[in-house]
Amino acid sequence: MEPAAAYPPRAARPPRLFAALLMLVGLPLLAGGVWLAALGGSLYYVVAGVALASSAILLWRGRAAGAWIYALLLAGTVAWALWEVGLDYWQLLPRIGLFAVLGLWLATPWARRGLA
Amino acid sequence: MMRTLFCALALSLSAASAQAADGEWHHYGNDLGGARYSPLDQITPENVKDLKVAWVYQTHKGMKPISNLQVTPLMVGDSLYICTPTNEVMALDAETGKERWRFEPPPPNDRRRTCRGVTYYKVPDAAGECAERIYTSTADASLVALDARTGKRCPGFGNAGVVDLKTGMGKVRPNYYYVTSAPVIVQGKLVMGGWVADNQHVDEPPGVIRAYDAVTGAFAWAFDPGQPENHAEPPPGETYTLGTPNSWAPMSADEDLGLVYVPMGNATPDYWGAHRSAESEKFTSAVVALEAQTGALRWLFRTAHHDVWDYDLASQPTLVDLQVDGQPVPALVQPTKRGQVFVLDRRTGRTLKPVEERPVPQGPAPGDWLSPTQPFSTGMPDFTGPDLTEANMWGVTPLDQLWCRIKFREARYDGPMTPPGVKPSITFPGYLGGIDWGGVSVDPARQIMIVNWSRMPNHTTLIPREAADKMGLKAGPKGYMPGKPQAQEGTPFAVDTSAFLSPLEIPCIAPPYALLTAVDLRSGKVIWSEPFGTARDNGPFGIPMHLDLTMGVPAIGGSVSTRSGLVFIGASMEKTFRAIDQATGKVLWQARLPAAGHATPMTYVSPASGRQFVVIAAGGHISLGSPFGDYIIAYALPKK
Repeated sequence: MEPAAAYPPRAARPPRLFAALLMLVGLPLLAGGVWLAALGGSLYYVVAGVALASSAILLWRGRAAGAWIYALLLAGTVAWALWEVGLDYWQLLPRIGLFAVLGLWLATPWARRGLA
Repeated sequence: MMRTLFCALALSLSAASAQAADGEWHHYGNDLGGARYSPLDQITPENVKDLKVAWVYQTHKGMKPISNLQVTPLMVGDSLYICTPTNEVMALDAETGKERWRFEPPPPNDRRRTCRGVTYYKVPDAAGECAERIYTSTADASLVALDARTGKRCPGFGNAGVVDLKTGMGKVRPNYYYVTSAPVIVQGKLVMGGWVADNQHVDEPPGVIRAYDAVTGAFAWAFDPGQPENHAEPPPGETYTLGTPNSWAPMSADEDLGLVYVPMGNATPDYWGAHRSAESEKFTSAVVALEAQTGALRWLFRTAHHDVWDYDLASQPTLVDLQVDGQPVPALVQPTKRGQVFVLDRRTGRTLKPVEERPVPQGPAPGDWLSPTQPFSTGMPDFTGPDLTEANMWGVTPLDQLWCRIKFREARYDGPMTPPGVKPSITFPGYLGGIDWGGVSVDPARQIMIVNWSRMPNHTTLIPREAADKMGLKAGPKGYMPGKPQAQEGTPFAVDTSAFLSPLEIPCIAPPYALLTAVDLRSGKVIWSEPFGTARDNGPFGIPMHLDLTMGVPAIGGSVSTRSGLVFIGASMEKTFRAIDQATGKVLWQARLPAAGHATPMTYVSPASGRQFVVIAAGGHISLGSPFGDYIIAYALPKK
């Protein structure tokens, strides 16, 4: 019994739904981030917005670089969050929670299969 | 001889402390001084884990309540006495919770108000009808005396048991004036202030404090903050001074000193104050000591100068004999919404812990002015937490957190007492405190004070009159509506102030929103301090997250300390009632409530069984948006 025979591999398709979701988060983050920066606030949201938008575009095209940018964003976000609020879990939740959940999906084989 | 002497000594001791028999609960805060301390010790840190529901009483038999039940019952003899937001008064069997009698106020009875408790008085040397009485006041500002045994009105009191509190108050529109906290009884006088609708217009009902004879209901004296020397009732056609600082919080009193301690508010409208008189400025947000027999001013201590933040005194002043260099000093502890707790000598009003006048942010609203300094109680812990920064802004995702960061950066915030203005400002603490009407509880033997305090900022904007007119902002027929912009008629600005929340309806700042702290009153040092309440009943859009993680969710309500070293407290938006180890802050027992317990609990021994009961009202809260309930719940250890 060969599982591969029972479940033939699907044609590789870029994770477009996921890419669209990232764009949906990335664009308001970028716009709001520019506004916040103009008010003299944190620059993180501009950077995160740019990273999310670029990751979204690359993932839409099926490029693995999109996943790498996302991984970089996640690592950078964790470092920034720890720097800004330390180990307070309630404070880490908004900063890391959403990106970590999305990152977990991106790390699954189903997401990676569509990337070159 | 020895025995007589002993009796005399016992009598003088009981007179000195003006305390009820151990095991009963005669005043709102148990004693007249509002300590919220019980000398009972049947329920201990060791056995509290076995506490079970003994009985449940519903004031409206499950009908949907129209407002929040905030009552702390009184317990006298073998009865509990409670009141509801719609003015009913009930006597309950202390052992079983069964209703003994019920007073229904005359219709219409559909007005919402708050009733934190009733007042009990035993007429000296009297027997029969109305020898023992329960006093309450109604939404139409009537003071009512009831026979404690039957619930019938006392014919000898006022006009067939009723005194009209609208006398001398000018034109009182419905829902603009009523008494929310139980009148205090001192030296045979019933003393009360009253709640006044916030932020409607400049000439709202007077903030006058009044005293009536507890037996006859005859007017005794007035303390009019606009004419502090005149203690008379105004002649027909005249009124007490309109628009003066009022007092809605529970008062306390010292029978021996013959003083009543009045926590004052400010002259409404709250957020702009150039029109306020010199007298109003003097008494604004001050604790005022009045002579119980005459209403004469003995001393005052102001906790906020020219208050334009709604930092009215919401907490009952708590009287405690403070150990200073091994000697007991009659002290008064005044908690504030500002998160400052002032400790004064209650004989003189002088400070017992250092108070510093510190510079505060400037830049008043157009036409207004500000005090360059405000008093800070530097000898006591601060109950506000660190000043806010952009990094304190919070959310569930980076998106709502970003929204809050932008709102924070767009607003003015220069630390405590940042003044309101046309450009939005962050008011921190907000109008729920700091410390609200729950006040503090004090264990006098161990000299430990328990404080439950909030960290909730307000977002405040003044709206110029022309824009306010376009928005249709007028003084409302229903008076004050929480969370809505308010007219402040007679000033150049309306005001829009409410809790600083994100579009997901969760606070814009990170938790904790409520903490419970124990303080050693002698040293002024914190013994322990813990976030209070879990996130299981709260979440975005009010949807419960079922997260059993300590978060410190918003809380309003008081605590009770017992001789056995326990602290009982509901207060939290989390629908949970807890017993806490006073020494460590550890939760020793908890029970789920059918509605949040935004009321101060109480405890007593039922003479029928000799068992100690702990009682809390589970009634929800209007300002916190926590659903209403009509439950009075008693807990006790299982019968042996």
